[in-house]
Amino acid sequence: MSAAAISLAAIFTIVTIGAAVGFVAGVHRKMDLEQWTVGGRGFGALLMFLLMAGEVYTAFAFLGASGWAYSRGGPTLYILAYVTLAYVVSFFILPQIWEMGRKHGMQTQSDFFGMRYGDKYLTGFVCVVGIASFVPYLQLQLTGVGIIVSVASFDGIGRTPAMAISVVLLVAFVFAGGVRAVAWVSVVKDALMVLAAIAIGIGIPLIHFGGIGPMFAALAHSRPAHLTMPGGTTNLGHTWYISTVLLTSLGFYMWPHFFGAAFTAKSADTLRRNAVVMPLYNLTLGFIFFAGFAAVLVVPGLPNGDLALLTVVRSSFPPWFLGVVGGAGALTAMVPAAILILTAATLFAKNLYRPVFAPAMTDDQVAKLARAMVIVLGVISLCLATYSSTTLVSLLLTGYAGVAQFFPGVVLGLYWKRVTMPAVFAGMIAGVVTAVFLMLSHRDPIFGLSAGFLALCLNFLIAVFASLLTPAPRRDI
Amino acid sequence: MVRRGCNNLECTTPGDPYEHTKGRLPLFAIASVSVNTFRLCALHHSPVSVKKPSAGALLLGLIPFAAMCFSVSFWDRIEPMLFGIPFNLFWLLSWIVLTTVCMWAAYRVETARKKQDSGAP
Repeated sequence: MSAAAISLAAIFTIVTIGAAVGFVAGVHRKMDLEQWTVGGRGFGALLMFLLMAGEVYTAFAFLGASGWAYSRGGPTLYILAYVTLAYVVSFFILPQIWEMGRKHGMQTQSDFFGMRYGDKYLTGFVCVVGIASFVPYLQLQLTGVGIIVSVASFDGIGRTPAMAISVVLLVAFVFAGGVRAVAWVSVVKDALMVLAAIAIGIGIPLIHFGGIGPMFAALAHSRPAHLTMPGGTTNLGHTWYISTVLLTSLGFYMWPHFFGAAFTAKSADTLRRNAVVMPLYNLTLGFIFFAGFAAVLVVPGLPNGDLALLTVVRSSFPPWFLGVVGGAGALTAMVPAAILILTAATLFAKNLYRPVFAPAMTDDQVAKLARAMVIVLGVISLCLATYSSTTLVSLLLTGYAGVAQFFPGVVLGLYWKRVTMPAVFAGMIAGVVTAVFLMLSHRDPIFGLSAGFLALCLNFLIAVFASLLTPAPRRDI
Repeated sequence: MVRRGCNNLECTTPGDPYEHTKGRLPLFAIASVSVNTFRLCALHHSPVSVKKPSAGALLLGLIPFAAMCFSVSFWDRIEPMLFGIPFNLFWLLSWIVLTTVCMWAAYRVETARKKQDSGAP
């Protein structure tokens, strides 16, 4: 058997096992709308931990983080900070969101905005921005799978067919099991991901340099600037770091699917305990950083940094191990992609289509429409991923600039009774327009600040001051 | 002791439970401690109360932000390398663990307050 065949067989086996776990979890369960989207609100701490870990550790963490460590160096450290601080933020907002969710039967982020502000246009806008921000995120995951399969096949299989296969599998297991299936696939995925990351992070420096210490010593000697900010870039310095960490850690739980995941918890306390424990999971990222930095010296001159992790694995380990890493990586991309598709489909059916076009639809019909949308979205995202060329980290940061604009509306909505709907709406529009304008005109970063962060500040100021200028909301509604 | 937060008692008490918050602005999103409850809580007299986090928990939550975000210029350097890892990377990895410690303390603060509020017999 050739090296390519061995590694591909290993990937295929792992993905098949993962998908099988998903199918088993979804069988013999009555699937109404609530069951399908929020798992019947019965997830305990363990399954919740796994579900959130599954969504958080994506192809971005696996390939994007190492890719940036390889190509950008120092600025990549923002990832370690923001994923940790995001849980700190979650401690102070998710339990409250959960309690509101239980009281008012919410299933999605749009439900929250709809209930809190009672305006269908604002809710529709949130929905549209949410779905639009998913596009780069979903593109990221599918591009990740494409990279994994093409590197693992020693460039024998193109990215496009690889992505097509993963979309089919993805749609199949979302269709069969909804959120519970995704949670259980996370079990398989996380175990593999942690093992693979540790093996790579320790193994690669050991093989090429004799250890992590000597590897960093060699790097500090030959490329000292690479290890601090701005690293391999000119404009990603400390101001950029602070603004980007703030943007992404505040924006983290504004992703409609993370927000929605909060509703699947058994209790508000589960979410608080989760926020305490989850930062530890990020230690795994350290190992991925080690591998990315090692690749700088081992496989220099790659055209695309996102290829670094797998290329260095391919040149250091036997093919079967490349296959295991590839399989873990593929599941790591597909689990979040499944959640994304699931959330986007529910958003579309329940919060956009029903209120605007067909108010008479029953919950049953909405569930059917959501399922149909899963297929449609799978095909759309495949088409988009086929034509993408940006780095994985840039794709994610684009999405963050969008979803972070929900933050003022959520936090003020939870904790400030004086906040008014028009003010939140105006702030959000201003934030989204600013972010989109700055990014499309290639002004990100601007004045050393992340463009999305600038937009978020503007958004927040408008929401607060316009609230004070508009009449206070009626208390007796 | 003055009870804060929106428990059943306060929800059914006449008067404005937000009196003390008037004229205060949330300066920073996370620190928007000025209002203690979500307003619907007061309107529906629901047994479920949506409370603001306590000031102690918020302060504990700000520690990781100060350490991992705002202080970047102080720790973004290679030397001294610790356990063979550059200082900036080592600093962040250590703070991942220390963040869990901070949040564990915040959790204790919150649960202690909850017990107090529910009026243990």
